[in-house]
Amino acid sequence: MSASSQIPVKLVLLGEAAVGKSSLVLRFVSNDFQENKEPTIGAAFLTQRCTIGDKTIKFEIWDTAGQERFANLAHLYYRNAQAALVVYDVTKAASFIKARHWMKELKEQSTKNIVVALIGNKFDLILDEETGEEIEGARKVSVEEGKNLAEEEGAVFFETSAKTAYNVNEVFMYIGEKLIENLAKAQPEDNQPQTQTNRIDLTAAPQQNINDNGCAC
Amino acid sequence: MSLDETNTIDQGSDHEKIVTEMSNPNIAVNSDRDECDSKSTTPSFTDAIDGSETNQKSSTDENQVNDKMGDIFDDYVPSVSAAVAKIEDDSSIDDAKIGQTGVIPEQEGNDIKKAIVDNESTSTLTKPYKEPKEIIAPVTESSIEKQREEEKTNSSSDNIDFNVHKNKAIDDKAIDVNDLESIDSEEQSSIIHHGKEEHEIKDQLLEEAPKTPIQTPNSKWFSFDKSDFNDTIQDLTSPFNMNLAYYRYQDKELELEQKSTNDKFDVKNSRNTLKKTFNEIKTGVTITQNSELINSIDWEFWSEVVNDYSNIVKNKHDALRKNITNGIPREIRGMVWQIICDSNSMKLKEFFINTKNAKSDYEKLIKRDLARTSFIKDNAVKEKIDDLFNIIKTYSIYDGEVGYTQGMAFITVPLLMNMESDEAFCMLVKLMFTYGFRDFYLPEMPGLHLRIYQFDRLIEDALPELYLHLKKQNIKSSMYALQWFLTLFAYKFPLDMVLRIYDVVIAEGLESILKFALNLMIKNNDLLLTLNFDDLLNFLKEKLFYCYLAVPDIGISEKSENGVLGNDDTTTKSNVYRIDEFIKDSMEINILPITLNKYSAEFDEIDKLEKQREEQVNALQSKNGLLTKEIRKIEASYALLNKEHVEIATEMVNGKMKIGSLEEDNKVLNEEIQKLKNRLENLTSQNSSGKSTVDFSGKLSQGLDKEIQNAMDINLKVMDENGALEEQLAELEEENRQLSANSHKINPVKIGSMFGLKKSGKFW
Repeated sequence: MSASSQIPVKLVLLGEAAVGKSSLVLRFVSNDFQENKEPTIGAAFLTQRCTIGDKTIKFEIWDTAGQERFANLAHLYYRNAQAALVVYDVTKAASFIKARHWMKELKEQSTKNIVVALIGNKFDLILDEETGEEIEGARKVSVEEGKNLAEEEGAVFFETSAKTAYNVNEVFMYIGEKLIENLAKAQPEDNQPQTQTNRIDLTAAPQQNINDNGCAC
Repeated sequence: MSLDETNTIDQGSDHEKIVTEMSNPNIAVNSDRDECDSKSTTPSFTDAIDGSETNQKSSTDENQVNDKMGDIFDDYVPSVSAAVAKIEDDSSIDDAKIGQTGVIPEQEGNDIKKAIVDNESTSTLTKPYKEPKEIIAPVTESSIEKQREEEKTNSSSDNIDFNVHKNKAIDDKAIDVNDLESIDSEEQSSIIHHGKEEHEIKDQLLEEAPKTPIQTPNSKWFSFDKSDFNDTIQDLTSPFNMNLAYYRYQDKELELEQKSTNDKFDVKNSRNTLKKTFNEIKTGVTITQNSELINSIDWEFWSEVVNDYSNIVKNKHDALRKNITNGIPREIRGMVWQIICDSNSMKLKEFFINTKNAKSDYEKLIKRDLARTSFIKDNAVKEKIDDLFNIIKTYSIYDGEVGYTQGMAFITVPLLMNMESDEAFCMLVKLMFTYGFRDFYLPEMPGLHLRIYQFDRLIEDALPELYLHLKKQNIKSSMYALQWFLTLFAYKFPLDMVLRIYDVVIAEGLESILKFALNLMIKNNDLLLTLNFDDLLNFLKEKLFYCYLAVPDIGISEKSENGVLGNDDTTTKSNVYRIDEFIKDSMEINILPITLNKYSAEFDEIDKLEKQREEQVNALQSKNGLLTKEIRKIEASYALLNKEHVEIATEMVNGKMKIGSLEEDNKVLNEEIQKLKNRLENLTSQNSSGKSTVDFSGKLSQGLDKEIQNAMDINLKVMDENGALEEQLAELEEENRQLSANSHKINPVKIGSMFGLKKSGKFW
């Protein structure tokens, strides 16, 4: 892979309705924000390039509709996704439950090596505009809860605000970096299995096969 | 049904001739398309052949066709003779050329549309012809050939698995489950050819079977009895297959038929109430002498629609189409809608009134969505927001399976703007259940996938070049067209435009949405062909509609990003579209129910196969899992064995090494033995001639003896000498005593030293 080439990355956003998925994308793609953004019908597809180091990543973003009904469409989108953002609303406990569900489903259904980020959005809502300190009781999902869930599922955790742009680019940058890292790791590995199979490493063989065939989903 | 049957029919030779005439260009075209698209062997060129066959037949029989049928036929197959002429000129490729050049300037637009119509109408005739077509159609894909070879070998068994090659494809791929998409494409191609192969195999079977005449249901098609032919043509060209509005009407009537008498009564009653209201209004208008109202509305026509819609739809479909295209007058729109779809029902109205204050699980979500849907920003809509909420909420209770789905507001608002809320609820239910909206909103959204598929196929047939371009650029229609179908364009268009679309949808059914969608693609064909992925996506989502903007240059010019964003505010866009033109252009596209049904059948088959494939994949996955387990087990035991083997090998090696060292030892020892033996031998041989040693020792002792003798001799001599010396000493001592006694004065030291010297000198 040459340094100048674009790396296409299929990224899918999942999460309950009205947690701010489309707003996150709008912020990332157009650096814009709309109050009361319209509900996404079906799914929206957007692209955005960003440069990380000497590589250019082209995010192909599938912004899914949050309503349960459209969840059945979502699996079409995340099936081959290399990255996923699972979004919840830090001021809505129910949305976090949904996020937990999505994390589980991703684990079971998606491609292995998918880079997942758990996003607690609407961070601005728990901050007092004047003091900049957290308003007591506004937050319904604690940082620890988020961190723990992310850790359990091997995801990274961010709290963001699409409205103030807090942490939004960071999420995508992190994902981009992580993917490049994975790519770099994957390349030498490509040659490995061959040499290993040729050599028949008997003690290692059983484990090897778990990795190759085990995740059949 | 079978190849030999087609050969034995009366016109068999003609038939073949046409086929051979046609086959060359056909192959050329096919292979061209094959380069880009594996699906290509399905499509319209083969359709054209068949259509033309039919047309040729029909032209010979034309005179005998009864008048009524002829009318219909002429209506829907406008260029029978032209089609025949086309075949003779081998010019059916022209159809392809139109698509390939992709140039659709205004004056040629009609031709193209005609071509589409031709295509549609001919393809409608192909359905019963499908079988011979499939056989005749030259297949250029070598992979298909191969597959067929495989199947031929399998064809002897009674239960032929037509999916053999498919299974293989899955077998090959299933291990890498992430590669499903590639299976998808393979699958699709195999699906498309599936029917073909099926018939091939049937032919094989028929050839192998004893030559008993096998009566297949369609076999009469190939004997071409005039009456049968006419019947079938009549059947095929019936408005049911040819006219969306009629199709919609029939469908609704059929549904009504199946209802209980009570419900029927309810519906008819409601219908009559509406008629009464309408007629009262009409009379009222005449009485008031409001010239504006009287002149702006074709009261004659619309009252006929209201009072006898079945007559309109059956006999005056052109007038209906024209009036629907021009838009149902605002004043009577709600009523006409309700009449056309027979939505009113006391039962539903009662349900609505009784339930509208009940609680629904979806309340919160509905409220939240209504608050953030810009489509509702319109003031007129805002006033009715509570009604809107009630309707949607009541529906979520009425239809528990669908409940509430985002997007419903879009289809409810136009209803509410034209009628009372209870009527709107009835109509929403009607649209959902009878018109098939419900399939859009059901959990699996089967309707949506079907429309998307039909849309893709329409593009493929009407705009093959664009279809391939989009495919090459990896643009799927689900990336941009999803919302068109889910919201009837309300996601993008202002309310007054959506109302016009609604006029058409209510008269012609949900299928008519495809007309608008296809029209947009046709209008933008040229531009789309010049764009690549990113621009395409942007264009399809934002600028596709700009060609109908009243001030068109805003969007299409090069001001890409800013232009789009600046223009994106849907609320301000209202009225800037040239609505009439958009509706008119769209309505000129003739999409036939039979074509759509064909696509539906394809879709069903694809869907079925998809599901089968999924099942197979699942089965294979579980099998894979089991096998993996087994492999693991075997590997574990293998590892164990190997360990043992290694141990044994090590032992063996150790043993060998031991043997080696032992051998070495052995060798050394042997050598030693040899040495010793040699020595022993030496010794024995020395022993046998043993004197020399004895002699030697004897000599030695002799020598010693001699020495001892000598020594003794010397000793003796010394003793003698010693004795002599002692005597001498004694003499000398005597002398000394005498001397000392004689002279004490003599120095004893002098005498001593004199003796000392004398003694040592004598001894050495």
